[in-house]
Amino acid sequence: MKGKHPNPFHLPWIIAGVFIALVLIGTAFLPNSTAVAGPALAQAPDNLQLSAAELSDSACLGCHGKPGLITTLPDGEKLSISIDGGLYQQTVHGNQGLPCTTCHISITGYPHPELTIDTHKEFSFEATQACQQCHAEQYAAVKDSIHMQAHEAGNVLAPACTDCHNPHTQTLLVDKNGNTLGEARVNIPLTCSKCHNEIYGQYKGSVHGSSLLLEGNIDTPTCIDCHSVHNVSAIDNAFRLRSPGICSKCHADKALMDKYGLSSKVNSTYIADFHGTTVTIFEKTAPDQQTNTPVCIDCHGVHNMTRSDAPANGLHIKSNLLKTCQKCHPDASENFPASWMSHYTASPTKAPLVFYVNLFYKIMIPLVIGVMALYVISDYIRRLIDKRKGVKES
Amino acid sequence: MSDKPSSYERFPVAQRIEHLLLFLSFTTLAITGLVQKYINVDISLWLIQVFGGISAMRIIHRVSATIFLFEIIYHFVLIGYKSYVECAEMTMLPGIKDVKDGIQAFGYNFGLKKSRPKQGRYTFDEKAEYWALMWGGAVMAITGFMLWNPIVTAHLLPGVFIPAAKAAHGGESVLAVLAILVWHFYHVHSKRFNKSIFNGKLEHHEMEEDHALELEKIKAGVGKFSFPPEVIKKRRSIFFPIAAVFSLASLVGIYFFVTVETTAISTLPPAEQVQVLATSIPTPIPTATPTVVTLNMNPNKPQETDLDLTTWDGGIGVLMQQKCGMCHGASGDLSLATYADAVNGG
Repeated sequence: MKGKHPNPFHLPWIIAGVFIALVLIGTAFLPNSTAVAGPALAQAPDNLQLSAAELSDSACLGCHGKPGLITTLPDGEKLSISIDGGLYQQTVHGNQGLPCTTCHISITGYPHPELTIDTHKEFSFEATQACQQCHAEQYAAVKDSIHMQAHEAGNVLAPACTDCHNPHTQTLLVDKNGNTLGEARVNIPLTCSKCHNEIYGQYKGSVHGSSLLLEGNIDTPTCIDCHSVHNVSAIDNAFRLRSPGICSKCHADKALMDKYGLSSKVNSTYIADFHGTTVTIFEKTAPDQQTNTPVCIDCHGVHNMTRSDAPANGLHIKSNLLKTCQKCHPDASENFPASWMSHYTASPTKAPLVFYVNLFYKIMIPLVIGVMALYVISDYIRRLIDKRKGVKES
Repeated sequence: MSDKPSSYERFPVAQRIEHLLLFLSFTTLAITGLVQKYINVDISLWLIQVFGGISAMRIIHRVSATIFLFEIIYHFVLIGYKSYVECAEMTMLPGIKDVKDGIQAFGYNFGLKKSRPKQGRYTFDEKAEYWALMWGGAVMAITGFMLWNPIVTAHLLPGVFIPAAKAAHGGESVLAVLAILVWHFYHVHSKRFNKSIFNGKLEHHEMEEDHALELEKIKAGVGKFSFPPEVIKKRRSIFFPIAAVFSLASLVGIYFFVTVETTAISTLPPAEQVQVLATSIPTPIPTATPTVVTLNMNPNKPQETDLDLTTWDGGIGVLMQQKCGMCHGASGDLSLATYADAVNGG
């Protein structure tokens, strides 16, 4: 095609070129749109034709590399169609040298085909086809997620891949072992906050959120540690019942808890106490069933959990604990919270009554049953001997 | 001795009914209770499912506990009747003789004594079991009340009594079940299958072996004596109203036991008050440029972040390629593909 298009270095041609390109690209992108908002798109020369082989990134960026390009979709939504090529080079995709057409699979030449979509979301969900090419595993997980269910139910706010991962700016999120990188962990709550802003507000103020977001402590859980990344599950009975297991991923990890001076026995003591026993039974025998028995989050808060010594709602403060008990036990009196062992194991100093009752039975059971067994065994043998000797029983 | 009866009545129907009630409630309580104590055992989980889930199982446990309490009341009324109206001997009361009998029985088994003890209507091992049941029943009823009604309990006692009650309820249950399995099963099933609790009778040789003193008394005619009907009638007229009041009071007590409190709300605990879906702000256009972490996934490819924008090879060339290359590539008069081309001009 060499020399086919006119030399654009004459002013009238430039003006004409701008105008034609504007109309051309505008109609190409927006088949149903009557107006193209924003500044001129680019300086695509008139009659420019490029084959698939000639369609390099620089060709795409020839138009889309201009900043501030905005188009209005048929539903009225404004969409940025500018790509920062330099920034893209530094993304996880650009860094691997993936050209634009890896993802923009419908574009195989120039002029590129018209987009037949009405909304940004529609475009995003179409784009998931492209994501699947390389991220099949993640996409499979998404298919089971509450987000996909919401999308299928017609919720227009339900996210597609690109709502969380802008492919033009997405950097690497995991290390070689598949562990989420520290910086990514800090950024995740911001991503989720785009739709779950109120929860983000709660989390930000929590012992976990403040530690992660303010101190950058990547030990603390970010959204995906509890909710999973792509297969974000529904918050249903099953999630409730397995949630103590989620908490204990960290809170039963002795090395991690020792670092913060926390007990790593909170889950085992919970299971040993009234509530945890019931929840464990439910989880094992009827994981879909509803139980009013509390799980960790019912006492400690869901997204706004605080330190146990926090004056406002820390559970180490007796009045706070009583208030927490009264959520489910409205008639509970001041003595009542002590009936909960507060994740302690009974010892001579902590709940001594429980400790000594246990000790009593630890001694009594072997002692009583031992004496009984001794009698029974000796009696049995004696009777055998007597029988052999022909001694009459009496 | 041709006139000696071949069998002797041991348990009248009333007592056999008691045993049946006790057997059913105790067994059900033991199964439905131990399962909750040992939830990490597979058979426990299986049994929970057989019983229709833990909620159903707990209801069964409590119904059985209530039947157990009914049986205890029935037992007390029966004891009252026998002791007051019939003036019967309190044969179950333990004494020094029982301790001596126990020692002698032990001694005989170990070859230290020449003979087994001669015992009365209730042998030392039967008394031991009876009083163990009394003690255990009391412990289980009291601690069971505390567990069933923790809020009422915490009004009267420090809260720690409730986990202590749980510890005692669990410990006592293990003790009771093991005692039944070792002691009771040996004495009435293994040693010799004792059918008296079903048919009410003991054979002569069984009486001779286990209740020699009672047999002697029966032969001597002791206990055959019965009061004249008018005396019985008079005593009954006194006993029945008292028994009725006692029974009624006990039933009220059981009703209190069962219904005194609603421990917890039946719904889910109040949830977090937060709107799950709350978009932050309308998505800004154009989207803000995020801070990019410098990454280089391709080890063969040099880092591209340290661009030296003062030379063509240091980055200007790439920049030209990206920003201008579409028009000023190989196809136009002005090529910016290489430094030489650029210098050459168009």
